Order: sequence, then structure tokens, then C-alpha cells
Amino acid sequence: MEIISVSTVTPVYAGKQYLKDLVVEIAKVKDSWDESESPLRLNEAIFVDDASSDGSLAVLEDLADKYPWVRVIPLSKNFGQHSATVAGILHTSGDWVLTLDEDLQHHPKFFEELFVKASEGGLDVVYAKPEEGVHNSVFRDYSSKLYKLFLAKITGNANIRLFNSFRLIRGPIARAMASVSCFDGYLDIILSWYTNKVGGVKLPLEDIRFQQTNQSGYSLMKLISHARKLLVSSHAKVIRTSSLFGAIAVFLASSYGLFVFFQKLLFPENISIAGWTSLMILGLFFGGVISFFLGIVLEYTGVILLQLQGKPAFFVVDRKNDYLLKPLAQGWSSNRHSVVQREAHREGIVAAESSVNAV
Amino acid sequence: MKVLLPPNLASTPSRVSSGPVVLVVGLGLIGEAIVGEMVAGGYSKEATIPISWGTQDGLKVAVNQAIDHVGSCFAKDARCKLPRQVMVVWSAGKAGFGCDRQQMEEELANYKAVVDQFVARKPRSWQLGFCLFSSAGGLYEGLANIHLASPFSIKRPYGELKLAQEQYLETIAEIYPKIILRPSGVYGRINLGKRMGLIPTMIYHGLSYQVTRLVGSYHTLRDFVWAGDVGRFVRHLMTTADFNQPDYLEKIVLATGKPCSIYEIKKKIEAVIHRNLYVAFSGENNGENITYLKPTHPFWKPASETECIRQVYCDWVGSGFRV
Repeated sequence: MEIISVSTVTPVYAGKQYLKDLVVEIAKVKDSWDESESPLRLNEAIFVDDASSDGSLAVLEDLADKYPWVRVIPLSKNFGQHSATVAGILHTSGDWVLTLDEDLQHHPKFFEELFVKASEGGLDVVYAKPEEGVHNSVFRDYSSKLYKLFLAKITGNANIRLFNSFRLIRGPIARAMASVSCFDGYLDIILSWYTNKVGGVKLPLEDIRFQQTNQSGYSLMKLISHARKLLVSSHAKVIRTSSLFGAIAVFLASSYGLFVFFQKLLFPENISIAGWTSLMILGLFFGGVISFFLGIVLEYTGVILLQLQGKPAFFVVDRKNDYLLKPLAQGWSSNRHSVVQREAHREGIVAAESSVNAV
Repeated sequence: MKVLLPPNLASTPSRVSSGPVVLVVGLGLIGEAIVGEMVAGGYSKEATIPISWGTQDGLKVAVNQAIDHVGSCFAKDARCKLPRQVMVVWSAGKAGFGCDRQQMEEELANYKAVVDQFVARKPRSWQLGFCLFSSAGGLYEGLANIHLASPFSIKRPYGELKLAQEQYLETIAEIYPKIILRPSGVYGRINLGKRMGLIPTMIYHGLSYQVTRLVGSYHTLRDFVWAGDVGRFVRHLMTTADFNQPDYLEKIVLATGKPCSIYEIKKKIEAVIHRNLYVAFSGENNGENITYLKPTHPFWKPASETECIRQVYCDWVGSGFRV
């Protein structure tokens, strides 16, 4: 039977207390795939220790001894989540790669939903979209959402709104992205160099760590740095926007220059200061010209930068085995229904127990 | 064939053994790397014995010469009374990955002739060990996450040859220790006219504006091992192999455990040499992914291709592009 091999990649930094549970949950998914007719097989779960300081590495090594499919990649220093994810992806061998956080925010029970979405849409990348704010913090949830919306508008890359660290990526595309990823590149922007078959699936994600402890793997400074990286990585369109501003400035300056010029000719009494007209025309015109040419220079710089970063002229991908995912998509709706029913049933029991206790 | 003497035999006779005499059969990519690392570790090159691969008689003559040569070295050091240990390392192989059945059978016959001759001619006082270079790619073709217990997946005569060589070695009671190494894709320095592996070939082609022709696709996953790491590891095995244990048999898969796509290699090389690489793919087979689990031997510490690409390039530039 033909199978689809799957690798997971989890960057780890200060998540010691969640690792064991996460591996147990991944093991459950792996076992259920192995024991069922599922075309999916989990080959490896790669954990990248991003120089964690809470003893996560020792826990991971113990887990790797216990589970032969767990692999640990220790990084020499703290490189950040994206670099750790890239390092992990470069160690994968699966047909598809799942990336997820260490803190069970991205629960392995949702793996199949991502595959179903990939199959239904013929996609190369599927992001998990939180159904509601994951942090239960209006500021965190909405600032992130608004920033992504802003960037999506100014860069013309609508997929930015979907970006999430819980993602399913076609293996060759994931490894191609990781091959050209540089220290200051934003992983998801580089992914968009290789494919625009990107989608999202709504999932009930919750950042339990943040909700319980009000602490996240990301400090405010890290979040700002992350946002800066996203802005800089999407530079080409930003530069184009600034060139456009330059061109608009030239146009406005020229128009206003003409207006002032004709005003001087036709209604000289309206301009009382001698030399004001010529100064205005010269200032506006050359300011606009400089802005415009600066934009062109930046445009060239952007092209050179993309060339240096390895943006491909083309990339070939083989999707012929995607038909293997179809049964998964067909069987999913009924399965999902039963999951929902189970959840409702469980909630009913909990509610009943609560009322009994109250009595 | 290279005869390598351990420090205690080569220079000042010592009462402490510093390893067996090593005979490296086959001085290709791996053989040269082993010789280089053994010499770096204190061994000395005693002699080079030419091998005539055309006939089995020619092979037997070469084996006899090697045994006589080693015998004379032991005789010079007769007072030391150290155990006379000789390790034969088989890193030869004219039949490549794409060999046909006839080439495979010829190579197997050559191998058996050499092993048999060593067993038949060695003096009784010698302890003879054998280290065979098999092939992970040949034995596990098309498999993912390979480890030593993975079932074989042999798809071509080359794989059959390697399995037959391993099985033959295991049957010979007179030889111990027996070490069987299954390397993945080995690469070394740029060495024109000789087999050097994928990475140096791509670097050379990039520098000389040539097209590299490969099987598979950009997505094909392989595991690339630096020949120097193999050499260093063999040096370690030579000094730790137990010549007194009749059932000493060690089998090790030599891989980095880090899969690497052709695309990744291309991008990394381009970043180092600052030129575009041109790669053309053919539709032949052998395009399947072959990947390995992390290495388990505590002394096998392979470097990643990231570390070695720059080294290969710098060596080549530093050598003045010597051919």
C-alpha cells in the first residue's frame, strides 16, 4: 500500500513541562494512523532545542530514548523560533511536514484536519486559523491580527493574514524554503516564493500557557523583532510602495508647480513674497525627483537582495500522490461529526457532575 | 593496496601495541581517506602494492606480496612479542551502483579470491581481521528512516553484490574481528579523474560552468557523508576492535541522519561559490529518497554537508586547481 510519510517539527524553548504530554499526544496520533487504514504514517517527530534554559534538552533526550521516532536537534545558541523550525525542516524526510509549538497550543489531534484541507483545496501549505483569540487577551490577539492585516494590504500578499506557526507544508516545498532561508528571513514569506496554493482551516486553538501563567515563549521585544522581520522580509512590495509615493510626490509637485507658475503669471497680486514661486517649484520638483529615484535605487537593491537570498525563478513540484489523501477527506466529515458528538457528550457529563456536586 | 604500520612497528619498537597493521585494499575515495586519517593518527605508509584486477591469479600475487611484506615487518620486531594483528580493509570496488550482473559476479569473485587468499596464506601466529565497506544505498534502496534493523530493499545487482560480500565474510571462522560498514553517499575532495561524490562534482561543475547530470529530481533526498569522517571512524575502529573475541562482528550504518535534498545542496554550493549551478535530471531510476535515522555509534560523529561544502571549495581553490 502506498503511504504518505509525515514529519513533525517542534522548536523548543522553555517548554519543559509540556514536552512529555506533547510526545504522548503525537504517539496517540501515530498509533491511530498505524492501526487504521489511514494513508498517513508519522515517520519522525523532530524537536529542535533552541538553547532552552529550563532543562528541556534533557527531557527531550529521555523521550528520544523511549520513542525511536523522536529526534532531537540541539542548536548551539538561541536562534529564535523560525531558525529552529528551519533547522528542523532540513532534517525531515517526510512527504509532508507539520510544524507546531511545544506547548500543546497546537494539539496533534488536529493534524488530520490540516491534511483534509490540503486534500480538498489541492494545497501546498495549510495554516491553522484560530476560531477565536488564542490568548484570551484583547491586546495580544487584536494587535497581531491588525498588524497582519496591515501588512497584507501594503504587500499585496493576502496569505499573511493566515500565517501561524501551526502549519502543514508539502515536504519538498518545506525543504526548498528551508534551503534558502537566511538569518533575517521570515519563514512564511519565503514559503510564498514557492507556492501560492495556501489555505487555512479554522481550529479551536488556545494558548493555555499564556492564559494560565500570562507568560508566552515570546517577550514583547521578541514580538516586536518578529514584526520587524515580517516587514523587512516582505521588502520588495514595501519598496515598490515607497517608489509609488515618490512618483506621486513628483506628480503632485509638478501639478502644484504649474498651479503656482500660472498663478504668478495670471494673478501675481496673490503672491506677495518675491522669489517664493521659483523656490516652491524648485523645492517640490527636485524633492519629488529625488524621492522617485531613491525609490528606483531601492527597487534595484530589493532585486539584488532577493537574488542574494535565493528567490527562485521557478520551482517544480510533484503532486501526483495527493490522490492518496482523498479517502481521508471523504471519511473525515462523519468522523468529525462523531468527535463533535463525543465532545458534547463529555461536556454534558461534566455539567451533570457539577450540578450533582452543587446539590 | 597500501600497507600501513602502527607507530610501535614503524619507528621505535615498543612493548605496547598501538594497533594492528592495516592493509587497505582499494585506494579510491574511501581508501585514500582511510590512509590519510591513519597516517594523521601516527601510522606510516610502509608500501604500496599494485593490484592487477584482471585475473584472480594477479590478485593472489598481490595478497602474497602484502603478506610477505607484513611478515618481514613483524620479523624486524621479533623481540617485542606483541600479538601479530593484521586488519584488511576492503574499500575496493570497480563495479559501481549501476553495474550489471556480469560485473557484479566478477567483483564478487575477486573479493572472495582476496579473502580466501588472506585466510590461506596468513601465518598461524597472525590474528587476521577484516573490515568490509558495504553500501547502505545498495542494501536499503528507496527506504526512509533507515537503521541497522531495517529490512533490506535490494533493487539492483550492486545491492546483491554487497549483501553477498557481507554474507561471505560472516561465514569465515578464521577471520575476527569482522567489521561491516554501510556508508551512505560518500564524498571527498575534488579529485578529477577519480570518483569523488556528488558534492565535489557539483562544485567543480559550478566553477567550470558545466551542467551536472543527475538521476532523480530536486526533491530527491540523500544522506551525504564526508570521506574524512569515514577515515577517522575507521581509525578508531582499528584501535578498538577486539582480536581475541571469535564472535566479534560489528555492523554500522555510516550516515549523518540528516536528509538532504539536491535542491538544498545546490543552494548551499551556490552560496559558497557565488555562481549558479546548472543541473539536468534524467528519468532513470534510482531517484527514490533514501534517508537514515540518527547515528547510534558513540564514536561516529559525522559533519554536516554545510560544514564540508566550504572546506571542499577552499581546498580546491587553495590547491591552485590542481588536477
